[in-house]
Amino acid sequence: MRRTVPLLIAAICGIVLIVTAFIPATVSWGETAAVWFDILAAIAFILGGGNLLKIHLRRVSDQSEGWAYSLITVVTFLLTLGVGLFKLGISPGSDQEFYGETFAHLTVEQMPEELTFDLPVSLAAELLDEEIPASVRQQFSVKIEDKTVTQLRFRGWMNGGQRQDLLNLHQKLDWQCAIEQLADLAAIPDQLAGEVRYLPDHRALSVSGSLNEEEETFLRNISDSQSWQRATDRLVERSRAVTSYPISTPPESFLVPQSYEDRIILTENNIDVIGPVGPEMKAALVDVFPRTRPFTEEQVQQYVDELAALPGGLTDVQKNTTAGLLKSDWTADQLIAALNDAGVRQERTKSACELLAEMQAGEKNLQLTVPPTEPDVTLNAAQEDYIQQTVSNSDSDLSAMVQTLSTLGDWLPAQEAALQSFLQKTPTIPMRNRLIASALITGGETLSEEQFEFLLAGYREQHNWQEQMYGLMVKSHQVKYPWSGEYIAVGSPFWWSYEYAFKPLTATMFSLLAFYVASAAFRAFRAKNFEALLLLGTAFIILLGRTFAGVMLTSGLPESLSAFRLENITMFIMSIINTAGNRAIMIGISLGIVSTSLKILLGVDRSYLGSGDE
Amino acid sequence: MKQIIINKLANLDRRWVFLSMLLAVAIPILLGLEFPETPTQQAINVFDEVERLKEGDRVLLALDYDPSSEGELSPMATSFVLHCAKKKVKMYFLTLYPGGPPMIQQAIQRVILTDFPNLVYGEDYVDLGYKPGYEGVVKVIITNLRELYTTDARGTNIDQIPMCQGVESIQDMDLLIAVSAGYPGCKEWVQYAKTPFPDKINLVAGVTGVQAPYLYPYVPKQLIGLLGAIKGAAEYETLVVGKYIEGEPKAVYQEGRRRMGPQLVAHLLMVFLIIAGNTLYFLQSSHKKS
Repeated sequence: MRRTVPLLIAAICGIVLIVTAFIPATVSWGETAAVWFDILAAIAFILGGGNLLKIHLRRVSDQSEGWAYSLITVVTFLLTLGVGLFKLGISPGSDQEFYGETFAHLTVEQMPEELTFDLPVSLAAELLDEEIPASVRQQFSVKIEDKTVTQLRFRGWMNGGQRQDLLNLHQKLDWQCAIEQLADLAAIPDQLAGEVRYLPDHRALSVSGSLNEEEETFLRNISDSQSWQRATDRLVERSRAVTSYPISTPPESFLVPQSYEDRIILTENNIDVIGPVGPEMKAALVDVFPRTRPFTEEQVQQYVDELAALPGGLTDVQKNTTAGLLKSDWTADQLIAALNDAGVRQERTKSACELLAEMQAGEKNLQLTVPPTEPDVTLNAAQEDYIQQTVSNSDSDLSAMVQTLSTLGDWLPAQEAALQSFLQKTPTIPMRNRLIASALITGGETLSEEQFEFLLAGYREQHNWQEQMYGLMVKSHQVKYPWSGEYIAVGSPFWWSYEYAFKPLTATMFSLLAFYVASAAFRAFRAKNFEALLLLGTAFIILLGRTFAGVMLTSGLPESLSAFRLENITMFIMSIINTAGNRAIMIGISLGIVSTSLKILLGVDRSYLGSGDE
Repeated sequence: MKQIIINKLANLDRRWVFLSMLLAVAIPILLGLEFPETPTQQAINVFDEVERLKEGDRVLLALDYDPSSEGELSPMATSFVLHCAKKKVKMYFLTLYPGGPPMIQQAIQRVILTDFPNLVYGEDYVDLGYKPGYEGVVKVIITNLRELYTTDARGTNIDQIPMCQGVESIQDMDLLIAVSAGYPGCKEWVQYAKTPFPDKINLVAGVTGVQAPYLYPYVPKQLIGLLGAIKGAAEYETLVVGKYIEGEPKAVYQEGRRRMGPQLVAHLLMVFLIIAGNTLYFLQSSHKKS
């Protein structure tokens, strides 16, 4: 039995793979067999490791000759295995972590009854023949009676992605209307929206930033269940943890953003923050440097003159480059165009329930959208003049333009968002100066130390501040998945052993070949007979032809004799003589493989199964 | 006296030979000896095949080697990645060697992260990492990539990687580039990928000097082009750098040519040693006869 089963496995797999090579319809059989082969190959690594340990530990135990090498092998094997398997010293993967969020363990089953939302419906049961989307599989369920879906149930809050996944399941209006109603029912309350969410795949309740008292009370009042209260306690405790981070003097223009005033305490050399810092908060803390604004011709000239007046001066090319870069900044006209675009009113897409109601009312030609009832809002002359004047005035606060623009004419919230978005995309002055510095030193041009200082001092300050805020974000972060980092991450113990032990050792072993080949060439490569002479001549040609020496030695040959140049003879030997010889050998080997394989598959040759002895 | 010298030389301590090889390699490295490279037809074929690609085409880069052959193969891998990045194709990295993942990381670090920071992971390049199974891996992914690669090397679900969407198998690749040191490697890609699907797979390769003679029989039908050893790397590097880099290229893009200096001197030493060994052999033989 011990020999028959492996024999059968080998025979079946082999025959399946042969069959799949000839019958395209059976390709999937071959895939399955090959996947099993791959799994077994992976298991072979484990067996190999076990075998290595067994052999070397026995040698150490017996203290047989060379046992010290065996001991080194065992120790390094276990060390490498340990640091690689347990990912020692490896930071969590940044793409697996949720910066700025606090988690509390809560499974879907632990979700309180108060957060179970039921919607009575009457839908055809075949609608659910399709597979439920993975994003809602844990939370969504249905009740079916007599081939009719009578109830839809959702545990926990439904997010936008889940709603869309369910809507996409069917295009039928009754289904989509039911899902819209269920989504409204299971929507997160306004008091918690944007702050709290439930992640079923992570089995966790999450809070962004810090949970304030109002939110805490609201959350607690949702349910008295023990698991819910425990999760809330955990969120309150962790989201209010204070992180203290040492900082150098903040930039002059730094003010704690209003929206985070209750979470940040700034002292002379320290910043204390309540709760974890997320990317949005970090961006707000970093956004303290003045942004560029359009330059007039005079301002451009003034800037160029100021830079040229510093020691080192500027060449004409550098002056033109500087002026060109300054003029290529954004303009007031671009901002006006962006605001006018945002003033175009959008069509409203009708909900599925609206469409269903229209259909049930007898409407045959359903329109999916509702055209806007009010005209588009375009900036008037006063608003445009105001923008033109304000952007050129370096003392004005561009983000405060909203107040005045809304009083000068029609103004939409979408335009306000477009204005903020536009300004956010403009570069800071230090970044623009750095761009100018790098443009001025390309093409072999140089700048003096004073000019570098003029252009880069601001960027240095900005970079330092960004780094500090990044450090604050990392320090305040609460790790969710400590093992999510890559085992080979730079700086980790595994990487270190690979980079400084495995890599040089294996490279050294391979490079020893050169020394042994050289020794063999001197001591053993003899032209003892005609065949050896042929081999020797070929070796000479290849050795010379594979380097510049070959080109150099025979470059004097005329074009008509170019076939006799060493590099061409080398190519001839490799692609004609070598190919012919190798093909003959390969065909011979292949025939041998066919015959051996058949013997193995048919069980004639069983030597691969071993002797059967222990 | 003459015979004594001949005998002494014939029985020269092998450590002198080792020392001469060390000097033959070390001196050109220290002096930075470089020689011009004239690309052979094989290198031109490889270059033309990559050059034929259009922006957005898919290229599978199988870096099947580990540190033991890094000296020979990493210049090739660097040039391939540089060429692909310049052509703006989508790069799918994988390896059949257990020691290969850091080689992929190294190629990405050297070229993409350093000189092409605008390329986005998951959109322009992806690291599919290592899978055990040798040729079994090729056999499966040639018809169904997702049977084996459910995630990339970072553990991200393959369906969530934008550039993997729409890739059912490696038959969807526009070009396969195999940089290989031995088994499993180029030969397996030829046998299990190119041969069963000759019309769908285009394969070029860069291999070690030891492996190259065994792969010439596959040129040109199964292998469109073959780069052999550091010489092939230097030739291909010359073509890529010549077309895409203006002025003095960075050191990392000259590695192939830089390594041809020591190779030339080492080869000359080998020729000298063979001649010297045979001369001494014949002198000894003639003396015995006389």
